[in-house]
Amino acid sequence: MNVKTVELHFDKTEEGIQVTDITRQVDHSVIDSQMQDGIVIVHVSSPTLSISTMDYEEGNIQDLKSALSKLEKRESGKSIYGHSLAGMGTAVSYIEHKGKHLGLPKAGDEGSIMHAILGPSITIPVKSNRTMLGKWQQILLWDSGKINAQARVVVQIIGEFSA
Amino acid sequence: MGVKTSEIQVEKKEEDLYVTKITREVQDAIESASFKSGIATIFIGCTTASISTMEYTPQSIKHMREALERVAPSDGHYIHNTSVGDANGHGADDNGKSHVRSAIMGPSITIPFNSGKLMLDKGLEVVLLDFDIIKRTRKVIIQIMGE
Repeated sequence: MNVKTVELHFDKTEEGIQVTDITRQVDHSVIDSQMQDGIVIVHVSSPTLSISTMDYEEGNIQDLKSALSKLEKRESGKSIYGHSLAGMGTAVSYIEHKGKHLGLPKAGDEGSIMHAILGPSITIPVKSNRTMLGKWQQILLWDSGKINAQARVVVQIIGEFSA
Repeated sequence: MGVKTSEIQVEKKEEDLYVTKITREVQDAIESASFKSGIATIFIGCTTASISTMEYTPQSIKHMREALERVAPSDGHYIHNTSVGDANGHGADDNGKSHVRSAIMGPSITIPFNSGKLMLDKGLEVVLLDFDIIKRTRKVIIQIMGE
C-alpha cells in the first residue's frame, strides 16, 4: 500500500464562477502513478473552490449556477422561494464570519455558499489503473476566486501500486 | 493492506426521488474482504444519482424530498432540458433537476470500519439517492481498503 500526492494548478481567467473540466489531468495523474487498485481523492482547500462530478454540458453548468444563486439570494434575505432550508443558514453565517477575515464574498454574492454546498473533495475508486468514473461523468473544478489567481488542486492516490 | 472492489445492482422503482438503503451490502463487502479495519468507499458512476448517509425513515425521506424541491424544483426552468446536447449529441432530456441535485449531493462517501464493522451509529444508513425521472437499474461500486 502506497500513497502518491500530486498538485495541479489551474488559472482563473473568467469573472464570476469559472468551471473547469479537470478529468483528463486527474486521469493522467492516476495513470502516471501506476497504482492498480485503490482510491483517488481530488481535493481543494480554499473557500472559493469546490470539486464536484457532473455531466459537463453547458445547460447543466448554467442550471447548477442558477440553483446556487437562488440559495445565495434566499440566505441574504432576497428569497425567491420564501422557505428556509434546514442547516443552510448556519453554513452561510459561518462563511460570512470567516469571510470578513479572508476578504471573501458576502452572503448573497456570487459564490458565497458554493464551497459549503458542493464541498471540498470527492473520492473515486480506481481499478486496473483507471478511475471508475461513468461514461458521462466528469470531475469539475468550481472557482469563485479572484481573476488571474491560480487554483491549487491536490490529487492524492492511495492503494496498491504495481511492483 | 489490500483492496477489494465489488459492484451491486440497485433498482429504482419509482419515477420520483427514490431512496434505497444499502448498508447491509456494504457490511457484507467488508466481511467478504476479511479485513479488520480500513475504509469503505461507496461510489456511483452516474450524474443523476448520489450516495449519502441519512436516517432511513418515511419522515426523513419526505424531508429530503421537500428540501431538494426547494434547491432544484421539479417545475423549475432548466437549460439542460432544452439544450441541443454536446458534441456527442448527448445532453438534451428532461432531467435537468436530477443533474443539479446529484452534483450537490455528490457521487461517493468514504466510511471507516473497525473490528470488521462499519463505524455508523445506530439509525444512520448508507443510501443511494436516485434523482432521475425514469425507473432504471443502477450499478454501485463498493471498494474496501484495509488490513
